[in-house]
Amino acid sequence: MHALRRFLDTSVGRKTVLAITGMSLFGFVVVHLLGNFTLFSGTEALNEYADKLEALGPVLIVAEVGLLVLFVVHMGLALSLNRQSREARPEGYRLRANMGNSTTASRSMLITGLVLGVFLVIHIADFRIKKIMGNPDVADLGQAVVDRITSPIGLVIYLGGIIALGLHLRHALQSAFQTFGLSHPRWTQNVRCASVAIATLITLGFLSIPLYLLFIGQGAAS
Amino acid sequence: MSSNHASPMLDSKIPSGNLKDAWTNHKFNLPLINPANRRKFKILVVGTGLAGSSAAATLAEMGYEVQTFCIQDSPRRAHSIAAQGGINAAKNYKGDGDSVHRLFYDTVKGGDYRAREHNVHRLAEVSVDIIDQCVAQGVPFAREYGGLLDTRSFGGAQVSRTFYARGQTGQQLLLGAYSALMRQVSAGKVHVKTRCEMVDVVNVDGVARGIITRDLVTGAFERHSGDAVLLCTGGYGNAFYLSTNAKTCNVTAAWRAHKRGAFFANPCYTQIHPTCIPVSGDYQSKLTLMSESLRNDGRVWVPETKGDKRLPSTIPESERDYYLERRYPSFGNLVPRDVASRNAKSVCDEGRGVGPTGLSVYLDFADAIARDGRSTIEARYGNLFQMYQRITGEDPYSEPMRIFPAVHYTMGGLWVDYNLESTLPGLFVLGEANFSDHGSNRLGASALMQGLADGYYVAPATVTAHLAGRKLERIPTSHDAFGEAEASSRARFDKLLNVNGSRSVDQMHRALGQLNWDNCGMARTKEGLEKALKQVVQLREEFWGDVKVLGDGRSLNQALEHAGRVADFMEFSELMMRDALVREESCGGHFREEHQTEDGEAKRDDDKFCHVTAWEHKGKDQPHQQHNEALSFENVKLTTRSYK
Amino acid sequence: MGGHSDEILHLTLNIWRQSGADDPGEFETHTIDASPSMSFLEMLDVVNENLQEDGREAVAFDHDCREGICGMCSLVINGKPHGPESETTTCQLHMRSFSDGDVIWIEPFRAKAFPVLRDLIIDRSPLDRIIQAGGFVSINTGAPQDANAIPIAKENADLAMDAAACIGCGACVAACPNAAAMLFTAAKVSQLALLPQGEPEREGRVIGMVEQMETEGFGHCTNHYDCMAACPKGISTDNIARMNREYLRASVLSR
Repeated sequence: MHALRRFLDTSVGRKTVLAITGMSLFGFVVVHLLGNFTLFSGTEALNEYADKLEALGPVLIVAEVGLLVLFVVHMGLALSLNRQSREARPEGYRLRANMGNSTTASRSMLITGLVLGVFLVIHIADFRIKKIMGNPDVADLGQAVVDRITSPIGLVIYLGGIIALGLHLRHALQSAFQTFGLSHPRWTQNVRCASVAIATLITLGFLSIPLYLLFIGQGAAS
Repeated sequence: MSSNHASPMLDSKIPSGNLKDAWTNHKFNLPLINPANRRKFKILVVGTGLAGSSAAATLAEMGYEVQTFCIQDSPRRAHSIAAQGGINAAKNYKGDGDSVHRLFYDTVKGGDYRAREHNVHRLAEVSVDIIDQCVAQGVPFAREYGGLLDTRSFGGAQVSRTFYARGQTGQQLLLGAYSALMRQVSAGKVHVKTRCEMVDVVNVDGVARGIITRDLVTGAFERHSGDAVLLCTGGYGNAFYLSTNAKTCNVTAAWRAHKRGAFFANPCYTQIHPTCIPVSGDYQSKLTLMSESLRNDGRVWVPETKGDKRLPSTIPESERDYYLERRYPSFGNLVPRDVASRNAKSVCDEGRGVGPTGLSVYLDFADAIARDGRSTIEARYGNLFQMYQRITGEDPYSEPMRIFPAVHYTMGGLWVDYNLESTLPGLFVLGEANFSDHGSNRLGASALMQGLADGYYVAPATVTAHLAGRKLERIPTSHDAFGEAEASSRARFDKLLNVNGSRSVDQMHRALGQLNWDNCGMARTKEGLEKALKQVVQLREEFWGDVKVLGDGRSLNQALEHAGRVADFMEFSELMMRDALVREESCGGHFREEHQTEDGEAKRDDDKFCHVTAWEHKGKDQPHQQHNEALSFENVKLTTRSYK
Repeated sequence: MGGHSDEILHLTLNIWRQSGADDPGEFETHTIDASPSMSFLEMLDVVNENLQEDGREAVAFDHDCREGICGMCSLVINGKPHGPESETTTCQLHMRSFSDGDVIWIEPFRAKAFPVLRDLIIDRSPLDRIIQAGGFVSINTGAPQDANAIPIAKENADLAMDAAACIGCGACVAACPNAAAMLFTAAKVSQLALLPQGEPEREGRVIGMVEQMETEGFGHCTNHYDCMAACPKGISTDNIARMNREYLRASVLSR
């Protein structure tokens, strides 16, 4: 326990945990996206998938609590690290040039993270909480998702979340490799490229759903 | 042999017996101190370059309490860090015939027979241990594909004995010593004081027992009492204002010690390095050295006719004078530093110098690029070419480099005996600050070797002997000697602040530098020196009457720091000129125009001047007294260096 | 060849002046005519000569070797540590990198761990303390084994040298949006992790140095790699990855 506390007392240690939780949340995002793809087969398919998840019972609860913990830890560590760094430079520069290596994505991790947090709260309140409370709005979950995502406000919120997610992942994936120390002259550049590619794919994946619903499959779905 | 007789005040303590066993026997004969008792002694180490850091770390490892002082913000920034080329060691890893004796021989000869045989032999012996020690510390020396250490031939040496870490050998060796020092700091054995300048040595009944320092941030004067004082404060090249030394390199610590009883030896021996980037304007603040390895492939030339202002590429081969190749057919462009430098000066004096100021010569790589291809030359010298381009804005691949000699190293320094102890007992002097091992000319890659030999191996043994050999009472810093030293230091700085004249410290320093360079630089004459001796006294009076130092002494004041150093350079320069005047011969870095062969080569006078000149300070307004230490050569035959 | 030496640059300088740690400090504006072949510090020398001529105290700035190796010089010039040229220290920066009419902002390296002592001079002693926490091999001066007793693969020796080239100037801290000292610390950890001589103290070293870095009040690493862009010696952020790896490994293995 002492060793763990010592580990967490350093920013390098906390950053490692940040990366572990981040990668786990990334895994969840991938699974969630694959689940959402069931919409391409209609709202029924999504409902079926949701029912199967519900059937897991206690396992689902453990998973959800686990996800919540991952998220809280990830967010808490990010805020604590950010605070440390703000304190590390109490007086800023009058003029600050772009050094050339940082990116919009890397500089906006805190913002994209916070946007994702807000998105998540709305998202969970919209569906998961209502579902648990037995709210009739989400009795047909698939249809509720489609309605929400195709409504103007819902679409804006969704797009905001997806863009934040894309930017966040663009920096996060390769950053996690660096944090874990997985660097190698032959591989590092590939990891960085792959990080951008995966972030782009995930973004496109999430975008494809409203695009499909709005322009191709909405009739079929409704 | 009239002036060769030895002064009784200079006991060199050279051990008797066979040269080869001298150091081993001497170490055996030196008294030791029980490890448990060592912690009772406190040693003050001034300067944290190779010599200072290595000595401080080693003494602390042995168990002494050590305090170090440096003027930079970290011990790691001392100017040893700038050494590029490498460090010599008689390892003979290449099997090309090197040996301790050959390194000894080359160093004595390279020093133009003006160094002590025993000191040099000891240096060659411990050179081998230095490499082992540094590798064990994690110094990343260059290696071959088989994983063993690489070496190269440097400065015209006939064997490959120079170990190197890219072009940053000094940096890596210093960081090695610095890391050993930091280890002792964390062990609580060394206390490091940074941004702090030594301003006086405290002499208690004829023994060095402490120092006075000035904190460069707060301006506070502090008294430090110790059982031995080690000066590792480098050379005095900045007496010339423009040199390859770092800006804060100075003679103050050595000069203060000199005024408290340590003799100053051979101050006229200065090394002018031939391959430096020339001066570009009167704002020039320092000169940058480029490794002399450039002369392996570059050809040095000037136009045949004076005042030829054509672009170098338009000057036909027949109208170029490759003067080194012409005058020294066998060594050509690889003649030793002093010879290359003097020749550059003489062609510029003839009006054949090139560049906007006429004070530079070409170092041309066109033939090498045509012969080996640009990529080969780039692989060999890429970083140097880049540095040249960065500083001058000229592309050395397409037009020849321009080079000019610059003051680089000073072989003179405080006189020390074989134990590195000065004429002020308890004051030890290490590295460039002492005079001991390079004679009148230092060979490439020997300075790093000497600094580390003194610090890692020699001083720890001899300082121990000093401490064991006498009864040293603890001297409280309330002792009168401390009070007097602090008061006189304060008075000096107050005086500087109160002159309120019209000329800045930098202007005065430049004027002094010009005077030294013109009269006590690459070539010296009796007439010039005598004239300059009068001028330097006058300049010193001007300084104390007209210097302008703004601000106060109670906070960080760089102008005041500089003023203190320039004041000492003013006094020191007079001694340097006097030494150059009395040495009526030419040897190594000291060239007296009156003493040259018919074809303009240095002419030594071994009958009259095979000695060390050590100067004693006799008090304010009193002339220095000259003492000589005779040099005897029993293992190397005195010959005339020839590079024809 | 020196053709532009008679050109003159008319520059406006905004220089940070601060009399001591307690003074809030402010910018002071100066104008100067500079030659393109001057170094940046020589240009400041001229500013100082002019100031003293006018009876005003010179701007204090750190410098020493003026050849890019001692690590004493610093300055953030127009928002970049060591100025606009890559892999160039302030002392090696020349005025030909600027144009006539330029306005130049000159600030100290800023970090809580590097308090300003005066004007552009900062206290970088935290870097020494990080080395004290383990940046060494614990061997005494004496008679170690022969230097060639342990062969070291050239590739590793070269990588160790790449890391060891660090001059300890602190530009990485100054450039980092978080004022982190990761690149500095990682360079030393890496050098010794790559060499067999560093092996016996491998775990203790990285833990000690990382913990000291925290104690000094530096920020954390967000993998922007701006430190590498600012580093005058081009030290790679691969060293940070190596340090992270070493730290993780040590945290698991250390007893």
